[in-house]
Amino acid sequence: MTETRMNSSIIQSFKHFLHYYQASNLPCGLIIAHAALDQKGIHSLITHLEKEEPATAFQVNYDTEHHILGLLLDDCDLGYTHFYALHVKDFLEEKDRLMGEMVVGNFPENSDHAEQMLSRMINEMMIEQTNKQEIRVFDNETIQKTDKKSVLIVDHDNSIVHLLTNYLQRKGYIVHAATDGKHGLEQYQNLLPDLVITEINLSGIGGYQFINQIKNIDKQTKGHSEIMVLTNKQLEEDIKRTFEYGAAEYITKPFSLIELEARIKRLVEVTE
Amino acid sequence: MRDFLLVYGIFAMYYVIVINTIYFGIIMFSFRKITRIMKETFYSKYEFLSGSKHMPPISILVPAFNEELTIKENVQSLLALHYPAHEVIVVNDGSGDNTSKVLIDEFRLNYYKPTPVEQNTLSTAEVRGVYYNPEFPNLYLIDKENGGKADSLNAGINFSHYSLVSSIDADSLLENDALIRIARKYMENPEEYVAIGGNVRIANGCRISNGMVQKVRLPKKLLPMLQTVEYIKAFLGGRIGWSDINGLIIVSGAFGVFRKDYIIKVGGYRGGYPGEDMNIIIKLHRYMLDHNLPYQIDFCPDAVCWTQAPDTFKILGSQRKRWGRGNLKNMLELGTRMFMRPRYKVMGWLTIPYNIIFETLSPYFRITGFLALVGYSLIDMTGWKIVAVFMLINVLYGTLLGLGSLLIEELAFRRFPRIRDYFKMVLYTILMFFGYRQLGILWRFMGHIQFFRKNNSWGTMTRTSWNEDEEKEEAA
Amino acid sequence: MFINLQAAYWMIAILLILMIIFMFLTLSIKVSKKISAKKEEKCLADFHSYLHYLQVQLDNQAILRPPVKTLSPFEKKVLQNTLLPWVERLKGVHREKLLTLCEDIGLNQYNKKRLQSPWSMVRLDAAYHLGILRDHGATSQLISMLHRSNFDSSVYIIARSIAQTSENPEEIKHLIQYLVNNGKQHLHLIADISKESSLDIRPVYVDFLYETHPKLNKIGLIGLQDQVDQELPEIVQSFVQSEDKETKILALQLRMAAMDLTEKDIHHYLQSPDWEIRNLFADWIGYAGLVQYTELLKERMQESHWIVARTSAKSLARLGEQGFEILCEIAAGLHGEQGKEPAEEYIHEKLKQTIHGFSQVNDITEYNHNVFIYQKYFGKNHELTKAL
Repeated sequence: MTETRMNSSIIQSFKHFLHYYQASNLPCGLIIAHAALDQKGIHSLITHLEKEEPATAFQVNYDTEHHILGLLLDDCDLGYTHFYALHVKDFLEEKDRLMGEMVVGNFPENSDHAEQMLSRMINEMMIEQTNKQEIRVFDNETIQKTDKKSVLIVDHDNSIVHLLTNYLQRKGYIVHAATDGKHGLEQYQNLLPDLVITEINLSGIGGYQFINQIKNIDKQTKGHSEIMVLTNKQLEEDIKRTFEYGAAEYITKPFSLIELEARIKRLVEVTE
Repeated sequence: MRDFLLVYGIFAMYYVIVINTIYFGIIMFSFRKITRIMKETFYSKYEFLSGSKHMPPISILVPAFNEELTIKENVQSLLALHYPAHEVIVVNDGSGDNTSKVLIDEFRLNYYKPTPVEQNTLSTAEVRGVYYNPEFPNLYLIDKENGGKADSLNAGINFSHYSLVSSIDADSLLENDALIRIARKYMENPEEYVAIGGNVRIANGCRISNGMVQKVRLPKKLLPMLQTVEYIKAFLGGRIGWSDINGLIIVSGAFGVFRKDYIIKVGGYRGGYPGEDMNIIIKLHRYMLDHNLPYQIDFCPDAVCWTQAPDTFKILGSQRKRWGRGNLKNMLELGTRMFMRPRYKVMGWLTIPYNIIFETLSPYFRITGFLALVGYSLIDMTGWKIVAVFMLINVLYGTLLGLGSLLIEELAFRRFPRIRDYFKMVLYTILMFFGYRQLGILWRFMGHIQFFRKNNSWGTMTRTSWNEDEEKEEAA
Repeated sequence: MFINLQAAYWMIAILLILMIIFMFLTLSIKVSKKISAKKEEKCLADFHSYLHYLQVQLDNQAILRPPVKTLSPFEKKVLQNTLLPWVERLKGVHREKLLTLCEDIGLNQYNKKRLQSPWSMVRLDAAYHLGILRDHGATSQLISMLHRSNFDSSVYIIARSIAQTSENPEEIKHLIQYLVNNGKQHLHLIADISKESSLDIRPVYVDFLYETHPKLNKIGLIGLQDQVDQELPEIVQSFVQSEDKETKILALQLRMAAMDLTEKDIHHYLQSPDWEIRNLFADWIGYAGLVQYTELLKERMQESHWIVARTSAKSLARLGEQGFEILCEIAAGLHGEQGKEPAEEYIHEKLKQTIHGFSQVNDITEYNHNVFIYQKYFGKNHELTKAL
């Protein structure tokens, strides 16, 4: 993996704990932040966290050389770790101490090797330093970057685009989105994704024409994308027609993310 | 003589004040209705309704005459409307250009022989054929001999498969949810809603791409800007109020939804031209009232259709002359028969009298009144104060009506959120009274002259068109 | 004289005052909207990390936690405007999770309080949102609100909320009866509203079939269309004989959906004097792929009603080789001139469709079969064969 390992004091200090969790197979959360803190600051952070979430045991370490704050949370899952990180972020932002992004990770949800995960979290954060003060969840290392399938979402509804983008990204897909048919076609031509998820009620051009044009592009490029329709349209006529047009799945809104993902999986894995 | 001129001039002034007062009353009705409109605008789930099995299918009729430049995009965006089940029927009214060919090529349509016309349908000019492609099962193109816009609509009605029809101008753009908004309203009372009109807005200045208005902006040019405030006043201030008392006299030809059975019962759109959109509504009112049927003709201001406003004096003039002609024709043919008849209720007592006295006849009163005042001022300069005061009242009153309409716009629709836009619209509302309004009256008068000159030749089946360019040639 | 300058001045003053009032109102709405839009933007920026947390952790086992700080009503509203569209678009565990979160945030309380507002607009807004929140506790309040409300569009908004929140099918039943008895709405609108309910309302629909009110019968027939996995109640049969065409068609559609028709029935209805019923059946045979009735469509293709003939052709094209062969027979003129055109049209369409059917082996054999049948009637040198 990365050769230029950073040697942070955090790793040294958390090492034993992490080994312990790993050995006894207990969950733990890790939060790191690029922040400028002094002794006093760290102290008041601890007081703050103890007050806000008194039930949670945690360890703090601060790497003065690289300005990294590290927190180790005892016995908690990823969801809680992320939520806990919101407290930390609130505190740091209020004191104007946050310098870059924050990364959260969880053993065993993000990685089955706790120490390695921590060092990679730190590495990633310091190498790709950004000014965006956001919380990022450590990317599941079991998914190799080269394996990722790409998905194009075409829907005029921003809520759908947001929900799906975030959800599918977490599931390891590369997600692109367009909000109207014309734009969707342009994107398709450039990206040639593995899967297209489209609404029928589009603007500019309708969903049927959109699917039709995709098939035409496929013919020219000899490529092939699976098409999944995710739509408000409940009429059987539409279901029948989209299948005739060559769509592989038809899901109506409101929809279940779990079902959607299962179907996506089936589609993209079958094609390989 | 001098006194007579003054008295007549003052009479004309009172006349205008009365118009404005009635209009003000109508705006008050609009205000009464606006909370109801806001509720249904904000809290109906159009997103989900647009896919529901339970909405009625609608046939969209698109009469087209020499529309080769825009027809393709328009049909594409009509096919893409967010609606559960609709068909688009383009009626090519014997265009001299490639209107048919453009569509046939784009959608790979095939020719079919026209179906024999059944009973109960409307007579039209000869239909040459129907074009269709099963790949686009919702699109039909009817190719027929030239017969005018009304005739094309009748041909479309004959052919349509569904019991609701919507008439749409080939050069206007519907918003994606326009149809579902009207249909939802219709669903609340399908027996009584015989017609529901959409709101027409001016697209000049807006950013348009892919057959959609992407960004709403006020027009930059003078004439479209004046028409923008004029339309807001007429549609939001006027039609909401008129519909509240069920006295709507027109559903814009640019966008409206109708019950097909009643259109056929009243004999369809009238052959000949112009004014067919007002004609059908008056006939519907008359039919329903004659037969003592409960009914409503409503206006749905959140269902929006964008249209390009004429931006030259010449085209605007010919449009307004046409409107004048149409209005006069309808009032002579239908209005006089309903005037002050108790049986026709609001129509008989208010709408028709208002239209005859204050719309149709207004050029005569206003022009003569104005001339009288000018004459009086020439004879006697001392009366200027009275004249000025009355003129000021009229301008202020008119502006007030404009401001009221802008308030309605702000309450329920907010298409122009910028404060700067508001002041611009207010400015043009005032500006309207210095030249534009007078020109409008003059055009209407000229329309009347055209009407009387050509009255004899106005048979039922004359070759007519409704296209601007054609109109210009005709005028030349 | 009838000129009173004094009165005219008064008039000017009144007009000016009204103008100022209108302008003031418009501008204050504009400004307040601008301010609240700004405030909302800032609020959303503050919640950015939190909303990100929600989206990322939506799928995790753990519950979603509400924001740490106590929220002002405005902040609640902003969160509501973000979260409820998600709730509306999702179903299953994720929706449940979001609903729990909304409850924890206090959105239910917030809206219930607003249900008491003196402003009808606010009350309606609250009712609308309580519906999306599936707040079971609010149903009775919503019902009384419905009964008090004027019978206009807002009734349907409240009714939808009742359908969404109710836990008792009886309430839905009363709701439907209330709407039918007081409103003039389309029955399909009621069906659409009752569908919002997550309850099993099949018994309600079945009950309606036994009511004397014909509108309730129709709602029953419409509602059952989506629930044909169980056996149809006996009484549906009697509606097929109904004088009322709408009822009759609804009953027939229901029986079609439930596949509750014998060959004799189908034969009968395909001969019906009413073209709409003939069309309905012609369409259904193709749609449902009922190959055994292919022969019956041959006759329908030769009838004079354009729509029925086309529908029959369309259905034949969907009925495999047998249907295709009949289309070819008709197009070749073996049965006279009637129906030749639609037959040709759908033959071309069918051939085009199957050749485009990608690489699937099935389609190739189907295509070859079709071409074989086609050539049987039109010969190898026919222009279409060449073109293909």
